[in-house]
Amino acid sequence: MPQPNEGPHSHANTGGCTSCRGLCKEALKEGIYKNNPVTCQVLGICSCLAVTNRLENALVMGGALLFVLTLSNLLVSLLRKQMPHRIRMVAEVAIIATFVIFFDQFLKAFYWDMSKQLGPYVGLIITNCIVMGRAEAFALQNPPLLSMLDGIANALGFAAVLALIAVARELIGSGSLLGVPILSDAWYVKNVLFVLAPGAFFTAGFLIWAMNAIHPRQPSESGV
Amino acid sequence: MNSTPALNIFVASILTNNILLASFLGMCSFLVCSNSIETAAGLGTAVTFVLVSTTTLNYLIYHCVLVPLGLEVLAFIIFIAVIAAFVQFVEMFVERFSPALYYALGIFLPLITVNCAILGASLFMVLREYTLVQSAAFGLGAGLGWTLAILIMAGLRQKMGYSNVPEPLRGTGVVMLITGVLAMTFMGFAGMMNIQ
Amino acid sequence: MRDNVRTLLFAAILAACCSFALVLASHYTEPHRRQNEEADRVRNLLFVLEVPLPQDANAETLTRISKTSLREGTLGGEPIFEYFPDMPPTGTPDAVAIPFSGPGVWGQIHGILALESDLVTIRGVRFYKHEETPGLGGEIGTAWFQEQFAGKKLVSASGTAEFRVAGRAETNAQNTVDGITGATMTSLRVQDMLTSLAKYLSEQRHATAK
Repeated sequence: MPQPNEGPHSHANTGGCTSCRGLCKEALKEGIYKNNPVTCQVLGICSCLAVTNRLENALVMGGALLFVLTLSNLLVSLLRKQMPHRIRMVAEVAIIATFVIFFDQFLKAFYWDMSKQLGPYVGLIITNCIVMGRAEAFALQNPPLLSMLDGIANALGFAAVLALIAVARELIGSGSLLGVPILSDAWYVKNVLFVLAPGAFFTAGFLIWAMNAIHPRQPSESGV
Repeated sequence: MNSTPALNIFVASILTNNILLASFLGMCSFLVCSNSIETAAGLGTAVTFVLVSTTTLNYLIYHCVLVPLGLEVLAFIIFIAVIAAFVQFVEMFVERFSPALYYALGIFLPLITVNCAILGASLFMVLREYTLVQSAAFGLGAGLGWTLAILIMAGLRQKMGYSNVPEPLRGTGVVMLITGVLAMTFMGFAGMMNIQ
Repeated sequence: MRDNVRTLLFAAILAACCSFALVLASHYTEPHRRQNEEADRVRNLLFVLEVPLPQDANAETLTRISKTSLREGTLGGEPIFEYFPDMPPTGTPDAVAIPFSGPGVWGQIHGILALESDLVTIRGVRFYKHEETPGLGGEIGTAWFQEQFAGKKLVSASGTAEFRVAGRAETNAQNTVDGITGATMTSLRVQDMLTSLAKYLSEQRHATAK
């Protein structure tokens, strides 16, 4: 059970792992579903739509974000006391960009086909608002282990949404999942629109509709 | 080498390969700032200016500095640094010479730095092996295309204030669905060009 | 003043560390990347020439096979790839692959054409890079479109060097394939590219015949 009033800053008095475990669980829950980066914070939409035409691409992108977000949160948190305030955004971008390039080089060397599939969208993780957002909002104010967990949680939340959208798009659009044909050609006419751009927007819209219907928002949050 | 005429690239990036409706770039600012036409127009102009300038600048830096030195691996970092510096410079310039415009654009200028469309355009420029003229045409077209999309959405959202959108769909949800229809509409532009 | 120095120092150290780490990573992954790029380049060549390949050939296998069976040559100044199924290469090649490219509707179209040793009959074609509309012009990259080319010729029955991408009614002709419904312009661009290649090859054949 998470401790009720214990904010991320105040774990001085209870000491040790008991309070940490509570905070850790809270961080995980927040990142994955209570404050999901895509559906609640509405960040990282660009890659959400671009790489979800196939489940495999979505999973690799989720993995990329897990790698980048965890490590960048960790490094930013480790450096948070030394980082001069004026250049903190530039420093964050530099750190994020370095990890993104690591991942991109790794893909090009060992998973070439995927690198071609994802195209420029791996590089665009640098501008993915989730990574910058978590660095600014969390890693700068919190200890390394917690920041790392926050990174993992947000990345998992992101990956979950991506996987959901990708399953819908690939199944309806190509009748397959992970390249394995599921809906046979014999009776299923592929709805190619779903693997094209409009399908991405429609699937995302329906997903948001579903999530908001299941977890109704506060009245102040809605508005056309 | 890419021998597509620059004009085709220009028109393509506005209509058939619209950077937002076909390549999904710039969604975050699009979702947040498409509430009113004035905001959309202001942001769109700023984005177009930054796009065409940074795509050309990044082309020059990539081909005249990074490639000869074999440092393509640093391309992403250099591109984003150039974009951030350029936006900073534009911000200072606008603040100094036109305070009215500066107040109008407000917080949008820093937002442009993280607009994935700007970095995305530079990355596409490298991927598709554009020449200098093609890069400039692409940057201009991408900016205009993005502005077109956000203006249409802003107009639609103002009208939607009178509609009865179901509660769970309000806000981002219905914008997504409308963008989907917009994307389908723009797909219909394929085949309109007959240059040469 | 001390603050500024500290800021500069931090920035310099961070920049140095990042660049160093990246250059190191790039150096380490470079051999793999080069091999992948090379394999990509030859993969299309090998497929279009119908070189027998083992199941799930990886980058290394592809590069190795290409080194033993393919030889680079020129035809009137243009680079081509000659395929010799036997080792060592003897006499005339079994087939020839010619890379070509030209403007499509929305971007450059890159392809490879494989011809039998007579330089007229098509063994196969692959359009491996293009920016055409998916579902319309983009169909040039699909199996159904590319498979039509096998066995077609680069000259018409009357001997003119041209290739046509036209309506289904005409696909009985030896130098015509079925175009793509709704993608007239892409089809026309492909037709232009292949016709100009046909004309070029016809000139080369006449040149060598003399």
